[in-house]
Amino acid sequence: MNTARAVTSGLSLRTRMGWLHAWVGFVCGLLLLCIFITGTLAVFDTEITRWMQPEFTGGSLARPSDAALARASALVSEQEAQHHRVSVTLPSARDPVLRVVQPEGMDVITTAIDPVTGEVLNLRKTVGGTLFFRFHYTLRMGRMFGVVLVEALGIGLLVTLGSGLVIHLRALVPNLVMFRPNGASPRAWMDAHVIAAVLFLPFTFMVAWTGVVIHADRIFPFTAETRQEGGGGPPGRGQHGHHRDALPIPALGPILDDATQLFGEGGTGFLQFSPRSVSVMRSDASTLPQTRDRAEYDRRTGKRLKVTRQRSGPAQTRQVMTGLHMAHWAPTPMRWLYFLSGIAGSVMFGTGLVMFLLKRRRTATSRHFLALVLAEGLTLGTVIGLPVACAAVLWANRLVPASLTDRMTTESACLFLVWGICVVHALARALQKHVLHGWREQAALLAVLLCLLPALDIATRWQWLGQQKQWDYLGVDAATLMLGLMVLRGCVFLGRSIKREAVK
Amino acid sequence: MSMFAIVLAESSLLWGVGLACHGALQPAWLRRQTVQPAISLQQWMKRLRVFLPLLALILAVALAGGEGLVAWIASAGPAGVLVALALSATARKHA
Repeated sequence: MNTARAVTSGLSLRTRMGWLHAWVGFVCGLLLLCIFITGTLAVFDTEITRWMQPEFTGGSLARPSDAALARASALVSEQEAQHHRVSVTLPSARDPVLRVVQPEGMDVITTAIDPVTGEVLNLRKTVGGTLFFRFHYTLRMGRMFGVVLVEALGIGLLVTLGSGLVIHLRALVPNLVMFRPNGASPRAWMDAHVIAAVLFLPFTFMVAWTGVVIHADRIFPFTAETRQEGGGGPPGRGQHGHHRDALPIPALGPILDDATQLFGEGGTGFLQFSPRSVSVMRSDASTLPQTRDRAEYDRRTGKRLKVTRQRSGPAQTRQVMTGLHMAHWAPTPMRWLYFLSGIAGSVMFGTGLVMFLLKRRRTATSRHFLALVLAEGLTLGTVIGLPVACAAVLWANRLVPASLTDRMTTESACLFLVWGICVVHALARALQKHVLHGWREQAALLAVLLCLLPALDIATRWQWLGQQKQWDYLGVDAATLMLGLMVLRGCVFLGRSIKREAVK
Repeated sequence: MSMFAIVLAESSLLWGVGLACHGALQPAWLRRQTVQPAISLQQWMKRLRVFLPLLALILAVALAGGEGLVAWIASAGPAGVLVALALSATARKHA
């Protein structure tokens, strides 16, 4: 006992941190990778939704016409009569239509209205980018348990980053931009891991930290902010009665004009409805801090009741943290940097998981066979399986008939079905001791799905092609093609590794 | 071209050059080169690898304030990856 304690106490800080980094990194890493991949896609959630509604042709950034606002009011009243909570998003540079938004379980149903004519646009129902966004922060496990789990994983990420810094500290600066792909097996993986982790460390640390802080109220319900601001939550969360008792909605045009005077041109974001009031929220895109300033109007008279601006220290801290994490303020080039940084974070997790398994495989005995199979299968099923499933959602969106009644369920089911199949395939390959073949097969599938997506896009969007602005479609297609080509390169690399192993 | 895009471009460029100087000074890379940079050039590269990112930071904050700071931080990663790939390709060519 004493000897064991002496040996333990003799371990250096670096060794201890190495253990922590490896095990916390692996246990949290599988789920953190899912969070990173879907978070990366969520940076362009609006653009992905646009891609998934190829019929969309119009849109205008001008103030919605009275006819459009009247149509939105009518739709809101209809939904309120059925006890649904709805909001209306106003046209923005990223989404130039009026949308009536209704949460439906883990998804969101939106009805798009032309802001000029007031016509309801005949777009296919789709889960859109919201599927990835909601998965990112709930893991589809509900807004309480899911969010708390993601919070805990975020803390795990901070632990992993801190311990990683300690263990790589010595070689950190010399290896900052050192990539040796032709080095011995763990060298290339380690270089890729260090480059992805260290060069993007400020970003990774920022998203982990802000991600934990913005939902801290789930873990610490009585924060300084709620004490100082008296709650400060949005209206309509039960404090003003039930939606079945809702008063008729007043004319939204004058309300919107008044709010525009308050928040500035393009400063209005969306409308929320409670039974006694209508609130106009400040646009998240207008400033880096996501202030959620709001002007509240009486539903009976349409008169402004109050303007709420939270400016206390804790509130401003949360607003900046939320703004930094959500990137709603970010212009397109910055959004691409977020996207690239998200990919780098995913590479960091992927290479970390692979290195963990490479090390364990060398030392594993037959007693650990099943654990190793499980770990290898789950790693493959996550690192490649989840991107395959995400790509499959985009394919399903274009291949499933637009008129299908359960389109949204079909699309979200597609994600989990394909992911499940990939995990089963990965486990089977690991059980056969051919996990490298599994990597190549799934990577080949992913490369095919990604590389052919632009062709699918043009083939299924042909009839509307001439009437559309192409940037969103071009962005999604170019990104998938680039990623597909990179995966294809990885596939060739895996093929060579398999051949080398066969020769041995 | 917006001010933000200009800040992103200058930050990426200055980060890139600074990190390239840093990478090219590392013994692991120098060992693989047939021609070594002159000592005076190495001295300059040592100064530039510190000075250029700092210059990028000052310009970014002066031109775009808080958002410039975010752009400066975020542009380091992609610039570094490009430099790492370029250095690795050069090292392989001379290996």
